[in-house]
Amino acid sequence: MFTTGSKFFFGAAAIAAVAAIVFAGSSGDPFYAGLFVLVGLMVVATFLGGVVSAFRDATRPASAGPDVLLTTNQAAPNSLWPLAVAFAAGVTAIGIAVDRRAFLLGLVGLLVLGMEWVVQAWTDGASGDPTYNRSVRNRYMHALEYPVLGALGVGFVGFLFSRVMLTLNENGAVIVFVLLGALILGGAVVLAQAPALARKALPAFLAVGAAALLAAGVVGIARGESDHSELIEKTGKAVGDKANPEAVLRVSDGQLETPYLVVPKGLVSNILFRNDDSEALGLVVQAKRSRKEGTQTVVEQFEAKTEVIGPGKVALLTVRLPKSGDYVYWVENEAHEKVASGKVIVP
Amino acid sequence: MLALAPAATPPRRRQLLVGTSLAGGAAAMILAGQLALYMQIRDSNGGSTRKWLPAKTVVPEVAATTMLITVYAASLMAQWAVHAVTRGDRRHTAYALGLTGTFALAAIVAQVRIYDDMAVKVVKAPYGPLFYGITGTFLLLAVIGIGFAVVAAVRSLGGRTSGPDREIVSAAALWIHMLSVVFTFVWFVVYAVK
Repeated sequence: MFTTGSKFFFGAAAIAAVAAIVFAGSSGDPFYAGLFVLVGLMVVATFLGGVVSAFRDATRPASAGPDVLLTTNQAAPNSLWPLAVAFAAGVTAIGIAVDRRAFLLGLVGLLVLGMEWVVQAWTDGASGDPTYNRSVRNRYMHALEYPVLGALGVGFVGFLFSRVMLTLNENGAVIVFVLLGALILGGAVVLAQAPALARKALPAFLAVGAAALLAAGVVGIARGESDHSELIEKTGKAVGDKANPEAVLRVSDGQLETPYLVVPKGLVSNILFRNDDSEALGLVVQAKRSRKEGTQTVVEQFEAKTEVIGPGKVALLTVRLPKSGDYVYWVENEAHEKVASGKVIVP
Repeated sequence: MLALAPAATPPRRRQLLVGTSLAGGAAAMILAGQLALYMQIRDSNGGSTRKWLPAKTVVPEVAATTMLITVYAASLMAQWAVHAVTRGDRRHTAYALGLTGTFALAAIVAQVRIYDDMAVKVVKAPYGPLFYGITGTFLLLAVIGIGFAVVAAVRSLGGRTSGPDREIVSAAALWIHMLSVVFTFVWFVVYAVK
């Protein structure tokens, strides 16, 4: 009934059980460590004895022949996946200590490359014909590899291109964009005129383009982003047409051009504030809103204000006035002194 | 002319299943040793939860019990995979192995949540090294379990539902069952007794 191998395990389990009883009876407190280990050994050895017995010591008679369904006598082909997985494991380990992003990248690499390795190992044993095995592997993996690699390629090109654009100043970026577009268009026209030439030249054309983009992208990363502060100064604080202001408030010589504003209730409204005065000024709108506090509704006053902007500048104030009523707005200087005021009507 | 009946098919060797059992036994013994040390050192440091746990450390019992239930759910799914692959049902094998991996992953997420909630420093001896040693060993075993489930899925779904490609599903299930049993002890000692 019991196989030879299982008898060893059952014997070990019996010895561990006796040892546990003796240990528990003879040792004083604390006795946890020894008891845990001996009882653990007893349980594990019993389990292994059962497994080994159930599978007849994992042996079979020599007369039964080899225990494989498919014999693959050829050596497995060389594979780079183990190397790649080891590299990903290294990146993961370094990432734990150095950078969370490298850690995550390593984990993704382990997952993807590990899957490639598993599939490769499986298809290597699909038959005795390496060509057929390769075709099986390709049938499974190309369906995943091509879309993923394509998406990665597009993302990589976009990233490198963005580095090039960001390292140039505004004029340089425009010139490069125009020249590049013209080059691609011109190249496409030339290749379209000579299809025979295109078949040979297109791979070279793409390879040179990829190498050039890679080189330019690396240079762009090394140089970093160019200083756009001048551009921001000129345009960054300008209010675009998309702002669609509800009203324009202009102040000059300490006077507001508009003594009152009508703002729709509950809607987000943009108010354009134009400072044509000689000193720096800011716009403040004071109104009321309600909020829930448990079962109570609390009405509170709030202020919405722009930054204090210099003479000749424009600022945008976005407000939402949820309650009807008459409120106030005023223009104040850097010392928070009121220069002029008006009324906000929410119908 | 009468012919003799064909001989019975000789039993398969099932090295993978036996090997997995041996590895599972070894893993269980490692954790048994660690839990023994935990109880021993806990006893020599006062022997009560109040004296043993670092100050202000609260064990998130809900997360720990959820993790225990999750591990057993993974075990159930693994056995479903064995059931399905035995009947040559590839679709259910895929569902079951996918859910096995997902539940094992959920257990890992729960463990990370426990780490985050407890915020025990590794250097806070003796509790810190023991706590992270035991739970970290279990995490490693769970990651191996997920890898095993993935390999089993690839082999059984892409290969045959008989022979070695079926045996690997049983072996992966055995590993997951081993995880469930082992984690029951980890849960009792580390999260219940504390």
